Amino acid sequence: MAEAQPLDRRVLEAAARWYVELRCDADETTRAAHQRWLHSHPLHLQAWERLARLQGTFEQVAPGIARPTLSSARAKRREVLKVMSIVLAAGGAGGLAWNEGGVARLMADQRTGVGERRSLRLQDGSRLQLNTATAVDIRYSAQWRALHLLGGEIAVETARDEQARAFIVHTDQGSIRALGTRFTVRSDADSTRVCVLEHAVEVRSAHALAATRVEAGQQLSFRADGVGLVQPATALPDAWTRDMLLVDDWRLGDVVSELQRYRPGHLGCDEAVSELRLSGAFHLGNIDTVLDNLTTTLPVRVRRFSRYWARVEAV
Amino acid sequence: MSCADPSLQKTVHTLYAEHHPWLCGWLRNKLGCVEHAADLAQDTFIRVLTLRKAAELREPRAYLSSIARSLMIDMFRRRAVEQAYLETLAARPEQFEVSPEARTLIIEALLEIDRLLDGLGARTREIFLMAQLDGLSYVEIGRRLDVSVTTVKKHAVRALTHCLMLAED
Repeated sequence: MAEAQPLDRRVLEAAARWYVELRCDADETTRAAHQRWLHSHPLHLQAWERLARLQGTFEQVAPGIARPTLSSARAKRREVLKVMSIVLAAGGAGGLAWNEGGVARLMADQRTGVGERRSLRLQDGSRLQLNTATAVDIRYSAQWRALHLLGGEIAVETARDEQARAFIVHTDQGSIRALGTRFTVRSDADSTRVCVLEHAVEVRSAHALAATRVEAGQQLSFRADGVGLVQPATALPDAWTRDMLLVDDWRLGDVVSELQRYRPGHLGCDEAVSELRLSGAFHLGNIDTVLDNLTTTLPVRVRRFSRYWARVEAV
Repeated sequence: MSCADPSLQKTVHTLYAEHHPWLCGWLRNKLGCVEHAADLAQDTFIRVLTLRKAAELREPRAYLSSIARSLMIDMFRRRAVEQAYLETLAARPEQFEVSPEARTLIIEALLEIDRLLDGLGARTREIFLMAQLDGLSYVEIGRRLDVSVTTVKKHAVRALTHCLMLAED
């Protein structure tokens, strides 16, 4: 029998060619010719069967799902593989993050995973706290005490420095110079938000020269191309350092997307309920408990498909 | 079967005793997670058992780490596909139920497709996907990409052949 013979490229290419021809509105003559080809050698039949199985694999996935999934998976993978090659070549330069992309983030000096929080003391005695999914590089030099926030959120309490070096937090969108203070910085894809708890900071967006001063009790969001308006800070912006999330008359949709930061996998909110309002204090220790509690106070339910996929929906 | 081969088992046993803690440490360093490191170390030794090459090892740690490395890459690929799939589902306006079994099959299929598409040029892949997944005719693809139907067909044949070479019977 022919099945022990491996299919070589030539036969497979011929099968592919036939497939392509038949897919274009083939006439009777072409179809007959294809049939003759098919039966002229057992290997041809075998190649055609393989093609049919391949076709089956493609048909298993709905078209609207396969395309976006594959291209997004590819983008994620490109990012990770880039890092893999660097990390592997360097021979164990720290750990790889599991949930967030970004080369620099994966290689950062200090990192937290989704749902993780950490507190540390820097060499000058300043305190640095990392919220969920956060990456920070720490660069102290003779002139500066610099942090690079690569993503996520930090709370900083600066200590008096014996060498009187400036304390600066850099993000992709600009920098924050501490003026002896306590403050939080949150960095998203294209903007940074700083909330000041004590004293003041000076903010410079990446493309601007002038600094904006933000005082205690105020917050400011900025992007690379400019700063927003100084506004009153939300209540207890550093509540997360005590494992709490405080919300005051928030849209449910916003609450859910905030909770999403702390929970691995996907967490979605049905549009039908996203405008519901709520206030309260939530414990960040167990997000699924928080979600279940929502169902006791709001007309919603939580649908879970897996550990990594949940959605808040109308009852 | 390989796993029943007593001398291999003995070799792997020795390998395990001598290098398992080291491998766990190595993986923990790469992954930053104890649990995943332990799982992957386990998978690495299973792979060693099935590859049946343990007896000839001169550089056991280099060998173990190269297997662990390829497993890590597989795992990242799987995670990327799973995550992308869930996100895609979640982004759809309508919600549709997918049983856990069906989901596993779909993710397997997606992984297989993703693997098959590796090594194809961007244009060839795009043309192939437009035909296979979007169900567009070659004429329509040619119109959208502003190339001739002959060119489209040429790419389609190349991509199909590539996938057929990689696909297993």
